[in-house]
This record gives sequence, structure tokens and C-alpha cells, in this order.
Amino acid sequence: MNAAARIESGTKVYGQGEAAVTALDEVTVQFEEGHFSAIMGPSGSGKSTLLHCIAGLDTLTSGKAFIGDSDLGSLKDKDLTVLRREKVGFIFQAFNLVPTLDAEENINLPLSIAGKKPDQDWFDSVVSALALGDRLDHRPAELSGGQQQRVAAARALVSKPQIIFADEPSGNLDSHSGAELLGFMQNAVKELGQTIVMVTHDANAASYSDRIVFLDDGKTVDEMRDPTPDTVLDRLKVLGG
Amino acid sequence: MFKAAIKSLLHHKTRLALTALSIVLGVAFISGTFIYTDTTSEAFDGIFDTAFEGIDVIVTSDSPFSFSQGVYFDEEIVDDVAGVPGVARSTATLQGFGVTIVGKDGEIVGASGPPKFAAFIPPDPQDWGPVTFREGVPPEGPDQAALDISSAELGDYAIGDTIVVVSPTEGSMEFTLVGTTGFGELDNLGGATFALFDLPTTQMVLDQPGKVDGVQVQAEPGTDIDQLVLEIQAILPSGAIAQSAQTAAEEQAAEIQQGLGFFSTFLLVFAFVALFVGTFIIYNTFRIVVVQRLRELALMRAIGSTRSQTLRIVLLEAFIVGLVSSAIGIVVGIGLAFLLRAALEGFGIALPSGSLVLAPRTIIVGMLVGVGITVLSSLLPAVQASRIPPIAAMSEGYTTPTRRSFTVRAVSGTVITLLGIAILLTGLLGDIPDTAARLTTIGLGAVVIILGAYVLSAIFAIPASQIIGAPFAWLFGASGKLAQRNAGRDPRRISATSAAIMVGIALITLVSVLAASISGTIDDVLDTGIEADLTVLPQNTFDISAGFSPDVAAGIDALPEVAATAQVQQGPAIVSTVAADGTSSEEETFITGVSDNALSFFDVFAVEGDAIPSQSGIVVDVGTAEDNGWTVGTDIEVLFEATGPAVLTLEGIVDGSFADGYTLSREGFVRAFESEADAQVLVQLAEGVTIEEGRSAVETVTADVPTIQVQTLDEFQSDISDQINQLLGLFTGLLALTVLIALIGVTNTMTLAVYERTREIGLLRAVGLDRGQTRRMILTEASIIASFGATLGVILGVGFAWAILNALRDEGFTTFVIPIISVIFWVAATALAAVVFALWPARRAARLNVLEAIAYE
Ligand SMILES: Nc1ncnc2c1ncn2[C@@H]1O[C@H](COP(=O)(O)OP(=O)(O)OP(=O)(O)O)[C@@H](O)[C@H]1O
Ligand SMILES: [Mg+2]
Repeated sequence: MNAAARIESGTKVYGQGEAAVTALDEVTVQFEEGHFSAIMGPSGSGKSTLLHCIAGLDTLTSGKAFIGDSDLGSLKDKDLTVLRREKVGFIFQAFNLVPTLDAEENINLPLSIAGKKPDQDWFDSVVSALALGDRLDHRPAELSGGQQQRVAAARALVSKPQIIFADEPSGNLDSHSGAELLGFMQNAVKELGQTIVMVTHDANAASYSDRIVFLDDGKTVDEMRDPTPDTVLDRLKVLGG
Repeated sequence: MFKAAIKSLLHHKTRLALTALSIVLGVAFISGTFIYTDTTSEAFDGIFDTAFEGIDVIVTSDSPFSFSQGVYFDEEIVDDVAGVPGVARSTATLQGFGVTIVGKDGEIVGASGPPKFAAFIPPDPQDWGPVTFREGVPPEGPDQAALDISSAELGDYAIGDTIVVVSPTEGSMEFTLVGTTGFGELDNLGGATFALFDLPTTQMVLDQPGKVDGVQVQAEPGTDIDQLVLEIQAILPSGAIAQSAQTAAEEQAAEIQQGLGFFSTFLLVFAFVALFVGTFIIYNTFRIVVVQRLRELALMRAIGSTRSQTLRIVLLEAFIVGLVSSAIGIVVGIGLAFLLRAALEGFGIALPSGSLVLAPRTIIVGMLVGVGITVLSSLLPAVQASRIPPIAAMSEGYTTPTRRSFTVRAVSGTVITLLGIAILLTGLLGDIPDTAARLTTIGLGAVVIILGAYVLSAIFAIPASQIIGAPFAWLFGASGKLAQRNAGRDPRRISATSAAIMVGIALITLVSVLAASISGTIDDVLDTGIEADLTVLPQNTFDISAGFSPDVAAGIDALPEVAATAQVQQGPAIVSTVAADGTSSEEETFITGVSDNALSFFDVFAVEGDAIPSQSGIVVDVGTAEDNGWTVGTDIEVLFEATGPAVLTLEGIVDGSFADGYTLSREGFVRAFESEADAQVLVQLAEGVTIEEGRSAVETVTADVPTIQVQTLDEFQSDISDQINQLLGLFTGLLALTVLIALIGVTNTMTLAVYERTREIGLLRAVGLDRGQTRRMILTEASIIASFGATLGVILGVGFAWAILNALRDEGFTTFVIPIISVIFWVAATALAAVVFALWPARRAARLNVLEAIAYE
């Protein structure tokens, strides 16, 4: 199986000298194509850092990060930006949308930045799958939190990226909206062959994934395939204990 | 509290420094102008205080004319005055203008603006008044002359040289230079040139044989001067007035200063504009500072500071900013006064070289205005700051509330604008006799209209920014579109930012349209109104008024190349006019005298009666006749300076492009003005003669009168356009400076926008907006805001110009020209300059750390 993204002995140190914090410590991990992967771990364990480094938003102190065959460390800001625009989709925990643009414009944003025409059929199927059809001309301020996150998901999908990164995408949502969003992400992977990497500390959310990587103190400490909420909780108890 | 204010000021220092620039500049112009006027006035007072040392009484003409051509008395007046008991000695004075000095290089000496005098310099030093001899001796006899030192230097003449002087009636004459003079320590008086002679020679040069224009009197010791003035007055002919030398000195000093006062007015107007623009910038900056410190101010409220304390903190900051920038402004003003002096000296106007006078008044006014405007402009933001609720410290997305709704805005904006229009129209059309009051009213109206436009501008800021942004969105794709949206995001902010630009561009547009329209009017008149191949006239207005000898016209007329010539004369007269309500008033105006064949040169036709009057008649244009309710046969009272009051019968009412004002026949004019001098000669060439052949033929006649220019109508017209454009350049240069200051507001606003939108920009960067695109997005937004302001400015400026030109319709300004190219240039230049002013915030946006931007707290 091919890795859509991987990191090789990735170390990330914040700050210097006395105040230095090692957020990632020689981490090696890969995320397979067509999979829905989750990263879990206690607060401060380096989940977000890992995601940022592998998504080309931040650079490693040492080690290498790849998206497909591209070595992120060798890319200049301009090329990184283009890579993010063309090969990566993002869903953040909040503030995903540009307030001046309506839902449709937000969804098409990466394409319009790249100066590309959206594929109308694909756009329609994404929008209908996310049940956003009647909300397309609404500004973010006129959308609920769940709708906003679904718009973000649609934006991540519509450019058919090689990989989508999501940092606690359901973190700000109630359980119902959260479940809807996660269910959709799961579908995108199963039916459309999308690759998704998601950070979460919610066992329920993690159970939507195919595989969970556990982080603690900047190191990968465990892995789990085909999780259910119960198995995840059990594992967390063991790790946390 | 003071400490807190200082700390916060230091924190925002770059922004505040930029903001303060407008105050610095405004105060600098005010104080510079004061320093300059104080310095010159002290110096001139000094000169004229000592000027009449040893002289007690002055007899001059009591002319009611503001543009006097000189009133002359028979020489006997000197002896008559000498006969008055108590008079120790009396000396004649005589002076007149229109006498040109020609330099060694054949060029006219001196600038074309100031007058060129010939004057009598008495042989005895105690009669010299303000004049001092730098070198040589007073001239004596018909072959000698003295020059003021500036003219001698400009003409490259030394003592003993033969100099050339041209008089309007006598033509070119040669004299031996025997002396050079100054005025106290001054080399010249406001750029005027002086050729000095003994009395008979002066009389000859001025064509006033046996005449003088006044008497200087020295009293016997112990005489009561006031009494002596009365006694002398008693024996004077009508039109002559006796004054104590003291009074005369004060009047002369005041007159010269008034002549230089043009600069002061001009500079004060500019200071006012800079400060007006400054109020918008300061208002906007303090608004921004308040928004940026929202949390901090809310926190202070939460921990117990009261509303009024918050208010005071912001006002205190404004006070300190005002204080510092006014102080800097005064220092810059001193530099400005130096520059001004250097500039005027560059124009050939000597100014006293003494040290600059920094009066307490200068400092007080500068400080008051600077601090006052800063504090006033920050008042609204301060109130806004005081209204921030403590809760704002805790909640994430709190923004200062938009208090006034758009409806309230629309109504109040419309009311203010209409009020402004009303004031403007009162100033333009109402009967305010005093020019200063009229101009103040017009200015006030303009200010109120601008405020109204500012209030209204927020309403159409969104649609306007969409329209202006559309081409950018088309051109730049996503970043252009984002900029388009962002520009219309906070209508109040865009209107506050663009208001300052609006003011600057409105004024630039106003002067451009006025200049173009005046040029256009002249074009029109010359294109359609005159049938002549060449026009012969002096360059300088004083020279035109002094005229030139009719021999020139006769000489030209005799040329075989010339088919016909028309002579035009011009001079001031006071006419009794009748207002609509029947009250009559005296009005000083220029009267034209034309030769009988003028009708074949000018596009003028009689609506009633004759187009050219008889010797004892007068002709007026339709408008003047209507305004006064005159019909053919009406007797009109006219006062001439040379011949006194006369009653002229209205013999014709005329219309056409050259029919303005009052016209006499040549005979009538010569009789009324006792002068045959022409102001202009128009030439129609014989068939088959080319313009160039004709010109060189005419120039052989005018060769020894170097003040006269022989031009085609096109050249004449472009000469005038050049002069207008020069003035326009000076004005727009200064106004462009205010636009630059206004653009600082764009820097401020964009910096705030980048600061507020950190997260959004981070998100855009994350999903693929590259640095270049991010930069372009910010720069484009700045451009849209500036274009919005510039567009509003153009609309206002065109409106103002239209109103003014409409009000001047009666004065003959019938053409309304919008210089499209230059208007587009200014809008485009402003939009481009805004890009430069937004570079710094754009760079910040592009360099934004994506992770920090999107980090979720
Ligand atoms: N910009 C930064 N500067 C310094 N230290 C940082 C920075 N960002 C993260 N860290 C530190 O790096 C470590 C890992 O942080 P990270 O945000 O990756 O944790 P996390 O697993 O995402 O935690 P959470 O579940 O709370 O989001 C933490 O100790 C954090 O304090
Ligand atoms: Mg995290």
C-alpha cells in the first residue's frame, strides 16, 4: 500500500535553550492512500504539531516529511503554497471560512485561487452529499457551526486533493452535527477513495477512522486498526494509566 | 494616567508619527506664514519709519481709484505749498509706471508681474526719503539716470554705462547711468524696477510736462504739524491731499505688505486644507487605535476604571500628540519661512535679510490650532472608547457597535449637504459686498458639503467598492475578488479613510476644471470673436495699462504688408451703477476705447442703437444694460481719474463675444483719459502676405519698444494658457501634498485590516493563497479605497467648479471644460500611490505566520 503522506524521524523543537520544548521526538509514521487515519493523544502530546508539519504548514527541526513523493523540506514557500492548494485539503476546528465569501465561493476558494474552473458535476455531488444545496448563497455568519464545518469539508473535497488534514473538525460541534460530519468524511474515504488524516481526542470521533496512531510526549506510542468507541476508550485508559 | 497615555503612545508610535505629519504640516504652514509676514512687516515698518526722516508733510493725490494711473498737478503747487507759513522747504515728487529698463542683453529687466516705475529723485539727500545711494550721484539733466541696484545688476549695468529705458509714449531712450540706489538695506521693493531722473527728465519720460504728483514738505522747527497739514490742505487744488509724513509712511508700508499679502493668503489657505485633511486622518487613526486596544480598554473598565477615565485617557493621548506635532510644526514653519524668503528672492523680490521674527502670537496660534484640531478629531473615537463595555474584554468577536443606522445617516448626510449647498450658493450668488466675507462663505459652504458627502459616502461605499473593484476582480482573479469584497466590508471605515483623499482630489479637480474652463473661455472668444492675423501688445498688465505710443499703430498701418489695424485703449473709470432695487453705487471698472474700424475686427453687434458711440457717448453690453435697467438715451455718470466726472449718453447696447463692459470711441477715450496710448493694436495683413512676412514687417516698427510682443492669436492664447498652467501647477503641487498626507490614512487602515484579519489571512494562506497573491489582495483593497475617495473627490470638485463658473457667468465665463485626461490621471495616480502606501501592511500580511494565524485559542 502506498503512503499518501509520511514523516521520517521527524523532530520538532519549539524555542531554544532552557525554554526549548520538543513537541515531536523522532517520529516516523505514514498515512496510507484511501484510508481514514486518526491521530490521538493527550493534550500537548504533539498531535497538532505532527499534522502541521506533515501538511506543509510548519517545518520540522530535523527529519523529513513527504506528501506523495514531494519532500516538504526541500520546497520554497511558493511551492509549498501551490502544493497545499493543489494536493492538500484542510478542515480546521473553527474559523474555516472567509467571512466575505458565500458558501459556494468558500467551497471553490482553492480552485479560484489557482485560477481553475470547478468541475460542476463533482461540485454538485459533493454539495448534495453534504446537504448544502440550499445554503450555497449564504455567508458564513448566516450558517450554523455544523453547516460551516460541512462547507469546510466540501471545500477540502472539491479540489480532489491527494490528502485531507483535519484538526479536531468536530471539536466545536454538538454530537449530532459532529456525527453527521464524521459520517460524511467516512463516506468520502469509503466511496470516493479520499485520503483523510484527522486529529482528535474524542474516542467517538476516532472510531470513524480505519486506523488510529497514538501519540504521547512527541512520540508514537501505539496504533490501532478498525477502532470502535469502546476499544479506543479501553486503549486510552491503558495509555493514560 | 499620564504615564499610561505615554506608554500607549509609544506603543503606537509609527502610526501616530505618520498621523501627526498632517498636523505638523498644517501648523508649519500657519506659523511659517506668520513668521514671514511678521518679518517682512517689521522690516518694512522699519524702512518707512526712517523713510521720511526730516520730512513732515506729504502732499499726494487723493485718488478714489484702486488701480490708479496717477494724478498729476501743475508744478506751481510746489511753490504754493512753500508759501504756506511754517513751511521751511518743499520739493516736488513725481512717479509713474510703465517705464521699462532694457538690459545690456536687450532683455527687459525684472519679472513681468510687478510694476516698472520712472521717478524723480531730488538732488538734495534730505529729500530722498527711503532711497539711499549705493553708488554714484543723483542724475542731473536730460542725459542722466539712476537705477535701483537690483535693476542695475539684472541689466548688467555699471556706473558710466549707457542704459536703455523705454517709455510708453516716448519710446526707447538712452541715458548715462550715474547712480545706483537701494531702499534702506533693501535692494528693491517687491520686485518693482525704478529708473530715476531729475524733474524735467521724469516729466518728459512720463509725458507729463510741467506736472508733479505731489510735494514733500519740511516744516520750520516748532511748527504744529497737524495744524500745518490743515493749512496746506486749504490751498491745495481738488484731488490733492496733505498728510503728515508719519501717516503717509504707515500707509505706504501697509500698501507694500498688501502687495506681498497674496502669498500669505495662499499659504494660509493651504494650511487650512492640510489641517482639514488632518482632521480626517486623526479621527481615523484614533478610531483604529481604539479598535486595536479594545480588549485593553475593556479590561480597564472591567477592573474598575470609569467611562470618563477611558474618555480622558484617549483625549490625553490626543493632546500629547497634538502638542508634540504642533511644536515640531512651528520649528518646520521657521524653516518654511526661510524657504519662502529664498523663493521670493529667486523671483527677484528683495526681502529684508534681518533675522526672522517669531512672535508669541505665532507660537500661541500654532499650538492652539494644532492641539485643538487633534483633540477635536479624537473626540468621537474617545467617546466610542468610553462606550466599550467591560464584557468586550471576555468575548471573542466584539466589535465596536455601528450606532447610527444608514437611514439616519442618509437623512443627516443629505441635510448637511443641502445646508452646505445653501451656504455655497449664498456665497456665490447672494449680495455679500465684501470679497473676504464672500470667499469665507464659499469656503464654509464647501467644508459643510464635504462633511455631508463624507457622511453620505458610507452609504454607497459598498456598491461603489464593488463597481470599482470589478476590474480588479477580473484582472487578478481570487485575490482581486477578495480585495473587492474586503473593501466594502466596513463602509464607515472606507468612508473615513477615503474622506481625506476626497478632499485633496476635490480641490485638485476644482482648480483643474477652473483652469481648463478659463482657458476654454479664452479659446472660444479668440477663435470666434476676433478677426486679426497679429496682435501687438505688452506682456505686463501694468504696461498694458500704461499703454504705448500711437506712433506704433501708425507705423504698422503704413506698412505695405498690412491691410488694416485697429487700436484698443484701456483704462480705469468709476461708473455709477444702479442695482435692481434702484439704489446706485460706484463701481471701478476698466473702460475700453476702440478705433472706428473695430467692428471689422471684433465680433460685436448692436442690439439697440450704435455699436460704436460718438465722442460724448458710451456703449455697454446687454448684460450690463439689463442689470442697471439702462436703455439707449440714458445718461450714465462716469468718473475719470484724469478729467474728473462726466455724463455720457448711452448710445448703444451691444452683444457678441467681445462686448463685455463699457466701450468708448477712440476720440471719447482720448478726451476722457487725456491719453493717446494704445493698450493693443490688432493687425489684418494684406492679401498674399504670410504671417511670418507680416510679423517681421510689424516687428521692424516695434523694434525699439521691447515690452511689446507681436503674436498670432494662437500664440497669444497659448501664452495665456501657459500662465494659467503655471499657476495651476503651483496649486496642484501643494494640493498633491495633501493627497499624500491623506494616503497615510490608507496605510493606517490597511494595517488595522491586516491586524484584524490575521486569522482569515492565515486561513487563505493555508488553503493556497501564495504570498504574492496575499500582497496583491491587500494592495488592491488599498487601491479600491483610494479610488473611491478620488472618485468622490472628482465628483465634488467638478460640482464646486460648476457652481463657481455658473456664478461667474456674468463675468464672461461661458465655457465649462472638464479636463478628462488630467482628472483620470489624478484618480489613477492616487490609486497607484495608495499601492505604495499599503506596501508595508501588505508585506506584513504576506509574511504572516500561517500557524500563528490559525492557532485556535
Ligand atoms: N508555537 C509554539 N511555541 C512553543 N511551544 C509550542 C508551540 N506550539 C506548540 N508548542 C508546544 O508543543 C507541544 C505540542 O503541542 P501541540 O499543539 O502539538 O499539542 P496537541 O497534542 O495538539 O495538544 P491539544 O490536544 O491541546 O491541541 C506542547 O507542549 C506545546 O506547548
Ligand atoms: Mg492541538
